[in-house]
Amino acid sequence: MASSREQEDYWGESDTAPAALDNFFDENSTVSWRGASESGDYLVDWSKRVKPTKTVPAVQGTVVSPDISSTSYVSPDVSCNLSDSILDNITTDNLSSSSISEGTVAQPRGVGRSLGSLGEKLQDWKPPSVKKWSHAGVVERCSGCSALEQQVAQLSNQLQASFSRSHVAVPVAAAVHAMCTGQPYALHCYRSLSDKRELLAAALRASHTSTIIAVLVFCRNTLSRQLFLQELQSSAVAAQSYLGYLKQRRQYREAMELLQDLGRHEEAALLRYRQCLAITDHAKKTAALRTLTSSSLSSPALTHYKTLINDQIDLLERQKSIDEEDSKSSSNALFKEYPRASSVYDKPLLTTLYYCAMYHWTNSGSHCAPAAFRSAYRLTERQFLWAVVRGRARVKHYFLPEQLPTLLTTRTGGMLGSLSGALSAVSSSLAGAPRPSLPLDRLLDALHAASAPHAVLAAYLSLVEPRELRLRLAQHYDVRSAVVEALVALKDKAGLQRYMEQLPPGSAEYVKADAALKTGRWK
Amino acid sequence: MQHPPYRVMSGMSGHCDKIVSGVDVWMLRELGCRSLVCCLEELPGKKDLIIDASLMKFLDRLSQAATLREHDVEKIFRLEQVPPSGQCAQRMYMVRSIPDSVKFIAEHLNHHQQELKQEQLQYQQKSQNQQQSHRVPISRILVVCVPSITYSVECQLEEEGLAGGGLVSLHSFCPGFVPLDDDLLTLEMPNFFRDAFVEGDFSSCAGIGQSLHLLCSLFGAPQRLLSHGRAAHAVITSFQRLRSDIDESHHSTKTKSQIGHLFILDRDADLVTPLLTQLTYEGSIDEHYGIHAGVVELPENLNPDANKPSASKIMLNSKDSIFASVRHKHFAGVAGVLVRRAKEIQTRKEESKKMTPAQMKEFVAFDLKQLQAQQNSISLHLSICEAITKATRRDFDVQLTTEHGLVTGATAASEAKTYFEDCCARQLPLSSCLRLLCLLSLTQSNGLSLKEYESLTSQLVAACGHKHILTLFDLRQVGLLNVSDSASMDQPQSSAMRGLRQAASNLMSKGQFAAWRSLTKFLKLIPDAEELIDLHNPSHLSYVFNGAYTPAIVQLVSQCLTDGLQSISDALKLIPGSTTSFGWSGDATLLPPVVVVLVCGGVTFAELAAFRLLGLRTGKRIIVATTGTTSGNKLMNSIANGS
Repeated sequence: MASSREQEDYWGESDTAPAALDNFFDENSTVSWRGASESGDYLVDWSKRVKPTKTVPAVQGTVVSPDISSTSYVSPDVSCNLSDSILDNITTDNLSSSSISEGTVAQPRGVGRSLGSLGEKLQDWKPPSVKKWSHAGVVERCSGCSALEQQVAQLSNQLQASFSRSHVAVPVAAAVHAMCTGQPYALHCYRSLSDKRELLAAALRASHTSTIIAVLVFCRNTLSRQLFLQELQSSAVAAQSYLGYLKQRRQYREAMELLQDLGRHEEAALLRYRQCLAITDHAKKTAALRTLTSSSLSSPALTHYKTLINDQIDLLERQKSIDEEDSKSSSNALFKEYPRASSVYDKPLLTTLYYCAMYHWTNSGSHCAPAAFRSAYRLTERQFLWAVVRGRARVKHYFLPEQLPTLLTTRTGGMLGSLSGALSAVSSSLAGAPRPSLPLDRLLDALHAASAPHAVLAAYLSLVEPRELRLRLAQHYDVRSAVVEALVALKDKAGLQRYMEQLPPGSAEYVKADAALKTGRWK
Repeated sequence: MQHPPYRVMSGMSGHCDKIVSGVDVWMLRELGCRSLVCCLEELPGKKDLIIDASLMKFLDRLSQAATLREHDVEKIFRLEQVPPSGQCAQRMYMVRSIPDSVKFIAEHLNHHQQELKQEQLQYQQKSQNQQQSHRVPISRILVVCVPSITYSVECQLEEEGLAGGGLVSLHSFCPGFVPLDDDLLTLEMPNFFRDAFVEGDFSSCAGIGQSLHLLCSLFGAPQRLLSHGRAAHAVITSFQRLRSDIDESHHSTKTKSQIGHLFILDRDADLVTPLLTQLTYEGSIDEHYGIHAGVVELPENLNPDANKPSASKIMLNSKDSIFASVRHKHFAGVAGVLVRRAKEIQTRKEESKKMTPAQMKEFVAFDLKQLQAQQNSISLHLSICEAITKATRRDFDVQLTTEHGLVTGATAASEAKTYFEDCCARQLPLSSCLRLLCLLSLTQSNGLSLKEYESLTSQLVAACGHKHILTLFDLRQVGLLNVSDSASMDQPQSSAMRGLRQAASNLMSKGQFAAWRSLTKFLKLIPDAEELIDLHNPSHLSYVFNGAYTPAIVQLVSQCLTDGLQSISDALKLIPGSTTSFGWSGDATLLPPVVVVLVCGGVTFAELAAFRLLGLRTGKRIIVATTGTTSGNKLMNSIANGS
C-alpha cells in the first residue's frame, strides 16, 4: 500500500482524472479510502466532484450493514465511513492483487475495468468487490447496459490472452535448458500428453537428475496414475530418479506403492523392512517384522528373506529375555569379574552366542545356553566353534584340541544331539587324530590374543604341519616347549643346541632339550 | 554488489613448490577460495556459519578460519539436529543439496522463534526488570547449497513454509576442484558413490561438470576427450551445456589449451580394484587408518610429538620429500628405503663435524633445518611402518593369496568360500567380509549361484547383523555382488537380482556375468604367470597388486594413450554406460603433455600409484581428478551405513 504522502500526490493531481485504465491498475493502492476519510479533506474534495452525478439511495440500505461499518478500520478490503453520505459509504476494494486473487465477485471488477478513464466515466462507476453490494444491486442495476457488458467480456478476453501470452509454452528443449541452468521456468503450459512425454525425454537426454525429478513430479501431479506409471516403466532412469526423490523426501509409503506397481516386490519388501528396523520399541518392532514376513514376503521367490527375518525376530525375542534377566541378576559372579560392555539387544547372532558362551556356559537347557543357538539358527560347526572358543577364552576357559569335538556333541542336548554327534564323528574320523575343523594358525592367534597358557598353545602347536611352520609359530608365540619339540621333530641338532643357550639352565624346557639331545637319534 | 578486496590471497600460492608443464593446479585453490569469499559476502555483515560435517574437511583444504573471520563470520558450527548457539542475527548454512539439511534448518528456526517468544513472555512478566533480552531475532538465513540447488531442496524449503518471504534464501556454491597434491584434485563428495551407483541419483554430476568447466576455464579445453559411464555421461553433458552457453555469450578470448587429454570414467568401470587390499605405502596407511582429504589421523601411540599424547593429524603430500619418495612404493620395501635415507642423513651430519667454520655457517643456514625435518619425517614413517606391520592380521598372507588367486584364477572358488566362512565365523569387520564376498562373486564367470549366495549371505548376516540384508541388496544393485539368476530366471525377482548396473549395461544378455573376465582379456589386466614383476623398482603397472592385477582404469588410459581410442573400443562395450569422444584424429605428438583423468566415484591410492608410474613411463603429466580418494572399506561402509 502506498504511503499517504504518495496518495496525497496522486489525488492532488487527480483534479484531472487518470488518463487510462492501465494507470488506474498500476496505482493499485490508490483508492484506499481510509487515509482520506481519516483526514477528511480529500474526502470532501472527492465527494464534491462525485456527488452531483451519483444518486443511489437503495444502495445505502443494502450495503452498509452495521457490522461492516463497525469493522471498517480493521478489514483490509472494506473500509467504510459512518457518515450519511452515500459516497462515504462506498466501500472500495483497494484493488490489490490479494483481493483480486480472492476472486470474490467477478462482475464488479469487470465494471471497474471497463472504465476507459476515471474522470469521464466516474458517474457510471460502481465500486467493486463487496459481496453484499454485488449480490444486491450491481447485477440488476447493470443489466441494462449490454454495451458495457460486451466491453467487459471483450476486455476480459484480452486480459486472458495477454496472460497466456506471457506463459506461452516455450520449446521443450529451451524449457529443459532453463531448468538445468537454474533459470526460472514454468511447466503448467505443457498440458498435452505428448508435450509431457517430450519434456521427459528431453530431461532424460540432458541427464540432469534434478530436472528429471522436477518433470516427473509435474507429470505425477497432472497425469493419471496409470499414465504416470507407463512413463516410469518406459525408462529405468526415470523410475530410479523418482524413487530416489521419494526416499530423499521420506515419502516411503508412496515409494513402496510405486515399487509394488512396478513389480519390484523385493525392493518394496526391503523398503518396508528398512522402516521396521527404525522402530525402537521391542514389541512394536517384532510385530511389524511379523506382519512383514507374513504379507510382503509371502512370495516363494523371497523365501530366503523370510527365513532370515524370522531368525531375526526369534533372536530379538531371545536377546530381550536374556537382557532382562541379566540386567537384574546379581548372582552370576562373572558379571562382576567381566562387566557387560553393553546390552546384547539387537547385536548380531554370533555376538550373542559369544556373549552366552561367556556368561551362560553352565545354563544348559535354557534359552540362553550356547547349544540352544546351534539348533535354533542352524549354525555351521565352524560358526559355533569359533564363537564358543572365543567366548570361553575371554573368561579364561581354554579348550584343548581334543575337547573341541565334544563341544559339538555332549553339550548339545535334545533332538539334535545325535545329528551333531554324527557330524563331529565324521570330522574327527577324517583326520584320524582329534584334529579340530578350525584353521590352527588362526586358532592359535585367537588363543594367544586371549592370553592362553603355554601348555594350551603347545597342545595346538603339536598339531601344526609341516614342522617348519610349527617351529616358526612356536617361536613367534614364544612357546619354549613347543620350540624344543619342533626342533627335535625336525632333527635339527645344531638349532636345538643354539636354542638351549637361550634357556635358563634347570628350566623344564632345558631339561627336555637336554634329554632329547642325549637320547635322540640325530643325523 | 561490492566485494571487499581479497586480503587473504597473498601467500596463498606459496603452497605450490613446483609448477610442472605450465599447469599450476594450486591456482584452483585460489579460485575456490575467492568464490568462497564471494559466497560469504552474499550475506554482508556479521553472521554465524553452520557447516555440514561432510563439507568441513573440504573447506579446510580450501581456506582457513582466518579467512572466514575476515569476512565477518562470528562463530562456526557443525550442522546437527541440535540448534547452534550462535548470537548473530544472520546465519549462513553451508550444506549438501539434500532435503534433510533444509529440515534441520527449519527445525533450528522454529526452535529459535519459540525461544524468542518465551523470552518475550518472561520479559513482559517482569517488565520493571530492565534486563535486556540476549537473544537476537534472526533477520536473514542464507542457505548455501554445495554444489548446486536441487529440485528436492527447493521443494522441501517450500513445504517447510520458508520459501520466498525474504527470511530464508537459497544460494548455490560450486567451489570446483581442490588440489591435494600436484597431481591430485578432489571434490570431496564422500556420498557420491552411494548416491550415484546405489540410489541412481546423479544430481551431483551437474556440480562435477561445473567444476570441470572451471578447470577448463583456467587451463583451456582438452583437445582430446574420452568419457565413458553413466555418471561420466551426466558430467560431460553438463560440461558441454556450460561451454555452449559461454561460447554463445563470449565469442572472443579462448584460453590456450594446456590439457592434451581428458578422460572421464566411472568407478564402476572397475569394481575389482577397490576390493583388493592396497599394498603401496600410502595405500596401506589408507587401509589401516583411513586418509580423508589428504589427512590421516594417527592413533595416540604414533604421535610424533611425544609431549602431547593425543591423536594427531598428519597431512600427507609431496611437500614432505621423504613421504614423496616412499608413498607409491610397495609396502615391503618402504622400511628399507627409510633406513637407507636415515643413514645418508646421518653421514651428512657427521661430515659437518669436519667442516671449516665457513662451510659450517652455510650448512647451518641452508641444510641443517631441512635435514632435521627429514629426520623427523623418517622417524614418523618408520613408526607408522612398524605399527602397520604389527596391526596386520596373522592370516594376512592367506588373505592376499586368496584375493590374488581369485583374480588370476589360481584359487578355487571352494577354497575362497571356506576362507570367507572362516572370516565370518571369526566376526572380522564387516567391510573385510564384504570385500571378500564381492571379489568372489565378481571373479566367478557366472557370479555366485543362488544357492551359494543364500548360504554365504546367511553366514555373513549371522556375523554382522540381520540389518545387512539391505546392504547385500544394495551391493547387488551396484554390481559389486553378482548373483547368477539362472535358477530364478522365471521368477519376478530376477530383474532386481540383476541390479542397476546390469540394467544400465549395454549387454543385457546372460553373458553379462562373464564381463569382468572378458575385460581382463581385452585389456590384459592379468600379467602372465611367467612374467617377472619387480615390486621395488617397478616397471609394470600391476606392481601395486603384487603383479596379480593391473587396475583397469589405469590400463584403459594407458592403452588409449599409447595405441589410440580404437584399441579399447571392445573393452568399453563391456563397461556400463555410453561413450563420448572427440579429437582423436590428428597427430598426438602435438598435444600438450598433460593428461587429466576424472574418476567419478572415487579413486584408490593403488590406482594413483599406478598412474604415477604410467606418467613416468609415458613422459606425460597425469593429473587425477576425483570425487574423493576411496578404498574398499570406504565404499563398503558408505553402502552399509546408508542401508
